[in-house]
Amino acid sequence: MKPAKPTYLDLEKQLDQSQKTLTAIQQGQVDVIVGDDRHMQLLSLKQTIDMLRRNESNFHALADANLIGIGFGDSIGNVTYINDEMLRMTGYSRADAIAGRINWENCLAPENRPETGTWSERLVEQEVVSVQEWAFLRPDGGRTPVLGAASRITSPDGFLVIIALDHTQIRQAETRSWKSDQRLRMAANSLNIGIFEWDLTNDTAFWENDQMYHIFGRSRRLPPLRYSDFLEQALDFRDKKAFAHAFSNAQHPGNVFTFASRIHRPGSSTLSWIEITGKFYQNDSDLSLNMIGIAKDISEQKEYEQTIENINNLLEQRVRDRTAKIQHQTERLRVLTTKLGQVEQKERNRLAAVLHDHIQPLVVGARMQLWELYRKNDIGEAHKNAHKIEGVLEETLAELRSLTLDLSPSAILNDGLAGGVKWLVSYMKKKFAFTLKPRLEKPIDPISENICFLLFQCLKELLFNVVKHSGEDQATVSIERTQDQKIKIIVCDNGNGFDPDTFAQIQNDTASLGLFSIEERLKDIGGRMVIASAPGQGTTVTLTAPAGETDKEITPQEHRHKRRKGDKPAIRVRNTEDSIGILIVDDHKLLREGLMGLLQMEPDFEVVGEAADADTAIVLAEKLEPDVVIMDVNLGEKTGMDATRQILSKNPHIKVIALSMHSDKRVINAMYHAGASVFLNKTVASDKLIAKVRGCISDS
Amino acid sequence: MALPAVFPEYSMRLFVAGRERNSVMAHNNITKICHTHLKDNCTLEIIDVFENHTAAMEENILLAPTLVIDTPNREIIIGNLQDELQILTALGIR
Repeated sequence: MKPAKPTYLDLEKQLDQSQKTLTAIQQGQVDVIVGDDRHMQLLSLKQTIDMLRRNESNFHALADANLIGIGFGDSIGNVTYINDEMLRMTGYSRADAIAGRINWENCLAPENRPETGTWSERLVEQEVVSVQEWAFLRPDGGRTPVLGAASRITSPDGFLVIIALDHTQIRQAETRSWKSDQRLRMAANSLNIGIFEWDLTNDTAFWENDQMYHIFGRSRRLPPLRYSDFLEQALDFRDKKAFAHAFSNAQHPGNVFTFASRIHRPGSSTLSWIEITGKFYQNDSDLSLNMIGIAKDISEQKEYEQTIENINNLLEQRVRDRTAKIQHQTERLRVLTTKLGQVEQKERNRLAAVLHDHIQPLVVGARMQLWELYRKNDIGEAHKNAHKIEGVLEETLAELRSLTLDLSPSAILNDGLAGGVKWLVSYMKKKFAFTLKPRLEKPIDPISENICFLLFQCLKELLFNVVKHSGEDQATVSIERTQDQKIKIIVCDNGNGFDPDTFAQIQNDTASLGLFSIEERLKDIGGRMVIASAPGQGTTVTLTAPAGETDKEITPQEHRHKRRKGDKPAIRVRNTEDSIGILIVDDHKLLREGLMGLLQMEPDFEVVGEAADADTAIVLAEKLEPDVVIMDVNLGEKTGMDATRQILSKNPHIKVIALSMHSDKRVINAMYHAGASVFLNKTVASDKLIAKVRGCISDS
Repeated sequence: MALPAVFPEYSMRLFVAGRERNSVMAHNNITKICHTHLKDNCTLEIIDVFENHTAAMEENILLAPTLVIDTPNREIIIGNLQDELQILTALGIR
């Protein structure tokens, strides 16, 4: 069927469509004519050219922006294209580039050149040299550090392309950072503490200073110590659990951790103490938990602390011991005081018994004889009574002397401590049938009188203890003077012995108290007592005391003889010049009266005066000018020696007869030395005294 | 493009020459009209003449870009479709 013939309207519509199509084509709104192969190829070529133009445009934009250096080269390295940034970095000018004076092989610093061949040859082999750090060697001799890469290309304009990024600022920053880091490390290494930084998440150690190697005794060749190494190898097993627990609990960014622990050093058998202090932080880049910290060797500090603790413990122990000892001694002193009171009372009782049983009956007997004397008219009987009275009085005096000797042996006054020991030998034998064997090392004198008496008393009490407790009937005593001028007395027996430690604990034992008393008295004068004993092995007691000062000491007797108040001097008028004038000097009124009565019975004697003290005696002697002065030794503050000396200095013709209870040789010698013509004991018979008075006058 | 919930009122085909400038413009313009004036009540089929040369030849389409409106009334518009009034008129909206 033939197609229908188009109508005018159809034609008009086709025309309108054709016009529109034509307009569209004229206006360039049509891209392609469908079905035309030639146009299709042109269109494809056009698209390719457009793409290349766009790429070229982009490349030029990149090159001209000069953000990075871009250059091309031929097969022998000559530059075929170079942008401004690359020119700046290589130090060449555009004119050099145009004139072909730039070759890539010369631009690189010698250390960046291949060991063999050229860069171009190397690119032939491997096509690409990836990004690495280079330095361009500029014609002016300077260097430009760059990050560069090169690639072989196939291009009509070149063989290779090089790109480079100026690395100067980064390198400078790196250098500054490196120097800063170096300074920090140098400072860290100069410190006496270890510094470390651990990555705890990955269990690595970033770094540590030299002191860390020293503290942990590790070789410098080893890598830095990791936390796991520290925990497993260095830390002592006793601290491991506590450290790991504390460390685990503290692991939080911002927390500070401190721990003191013991560590082992390789090759060392001793433990060291360290203190680790660190702060946890989170790494911003990988969010790992890190710790930066310090380690201090505190071994010395710990040692000092231990020493101080030991000293404190020792001091506390000593204080406890001393306190216990003081308490013990206080208790013993209390017991001793009680005991002393008892002993004192016992001694009083003994003295009272002696006075009551011995002295008092004698005095009563003498008084009865006197009564009998009064009643009798017969001179012969009276004489017998008087003789009996004299006998009773002599017996009384003997008892008193015995008592006095018992209280304070005169042997000490005569022969010092050696004399005292001799007396003790006799006394012990007589009283206890005890044999004391003395060994006296001479010379031991001089010894202070006080020390001498004290040592004598101590020795006496010690020997009483030996008698009571040793079970032996003999002992030895030796006395010597040491090189440091001390008196050492050693008493030794082979008796029962005892344990000194146990013995000291017994507070109420008499022997213990006796020894304690001796020890305390010796301590008081700077001496000491040492006991060496064991059960069944006897006892050796050593007493040591300083010899003491011997000058101008007052004897106990001098202290006892104080001046008696109210004794006034008596002056009598001398009757005849032919008689012997006598001045009586004695602080006892009764004795003066007794002497006066005795002497006045003699027809050729005349008592011209009496004095109770030395000063009165001196005055009266000058005033009365007696022929004889009967002088007592102990007159109070001034002695008979002083009075004698002064009287004789003014009246040398006067004869002085010393009359004393003393039998001490030193006293006797002192009186003779003062000028006395005769020394008589007060116990001397009256006729002997009368004879001596006459004798000294006739001798003159 | 999302399919309409009911049968679309407008059905069109656009013949383009790859990513050529006028073809891209034509595509953008008709898409805009679909959204703006047809409220997506349309179907639009894109046919690249570089890839489907015969489809254009069968429809006797000689130039690209060309818009063929099948419904409501068959109309053919050549060019980059920058004349919006012309298209709306062809669609019967104006």
